[in-house]
Amino acid sequence: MITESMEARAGKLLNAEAMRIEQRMVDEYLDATGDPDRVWRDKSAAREAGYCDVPVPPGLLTSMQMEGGSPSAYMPEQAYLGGAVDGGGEWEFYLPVYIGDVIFTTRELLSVKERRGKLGEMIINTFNVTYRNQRSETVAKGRWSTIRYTAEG
Amino acid sequence: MPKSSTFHEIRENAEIPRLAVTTSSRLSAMWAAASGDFDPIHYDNEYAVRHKLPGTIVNGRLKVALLVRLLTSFAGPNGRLKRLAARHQGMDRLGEPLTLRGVVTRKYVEGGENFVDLEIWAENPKGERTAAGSATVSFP
Repeated sequence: MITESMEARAGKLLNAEAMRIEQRMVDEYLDATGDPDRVWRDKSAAREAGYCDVPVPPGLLTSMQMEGGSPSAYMPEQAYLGGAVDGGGEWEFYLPVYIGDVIFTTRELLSVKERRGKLGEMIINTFNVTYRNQRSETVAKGRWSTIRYTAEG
Repeated sequence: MPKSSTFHEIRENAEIPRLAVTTSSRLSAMWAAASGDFDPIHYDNEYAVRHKLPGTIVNGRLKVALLVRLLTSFAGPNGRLKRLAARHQGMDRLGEPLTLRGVVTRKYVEGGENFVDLEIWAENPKGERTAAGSATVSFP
């Protein structure tokens, strides 16, 4: 299943994105996760908690919009496979992110591997993601996998 | 919100407060808006079945976000989530309840900072772990 052109992309930058963190994004995230914590909403609660402003819940960084959407859009050579599910990942959070910050995200394709599983023949793509703020500080890093498999379109 | 534990109060092998979530197509739509992931496998049953799935499934990143909520709630306002790892081990059907759980595996001081390691997981109504991993939270 893995072609030379797929292998050739391993270890290379897949895409880079810049996104300003807007209040709307945080509101939608908190609504979807049902998170009632005042720290994510209220400046005085945030300051009492040791933040300099209202921070963004760290989980917001793990949503794919921060990386420019699904990696499928940047990997046309795997489009024929049709199916894709998330394999999970690991994230480390170094610094708080605040509303108004601009987060620069780089996504690198770390590896492409073949495996057979419940969904048949599969390709496991693993990515390294780095999130930096407007001061070039690394605020978080992630490594996660997506599973591509053959399915009807 | 329940009062969060202090580092002193936390005990190894203790379970942290669970987070129970009812999954639904409404939740799926809300997560799509929040995350920008509009893959139809999370809201179109026919499409999901055509893609070898048992039907519409809960978005894997939503499960990660709910695990983050579990952990930040445990950490309380002054604690900080430092690391989270979660591997998806099974699919959660939309409409089924989902429970996010965690157990303290280690409590320690390193470099003058207080840390708690946890085993974390998402559990379906049959008690099966559909996502599992670990996390580290720091405390004042």
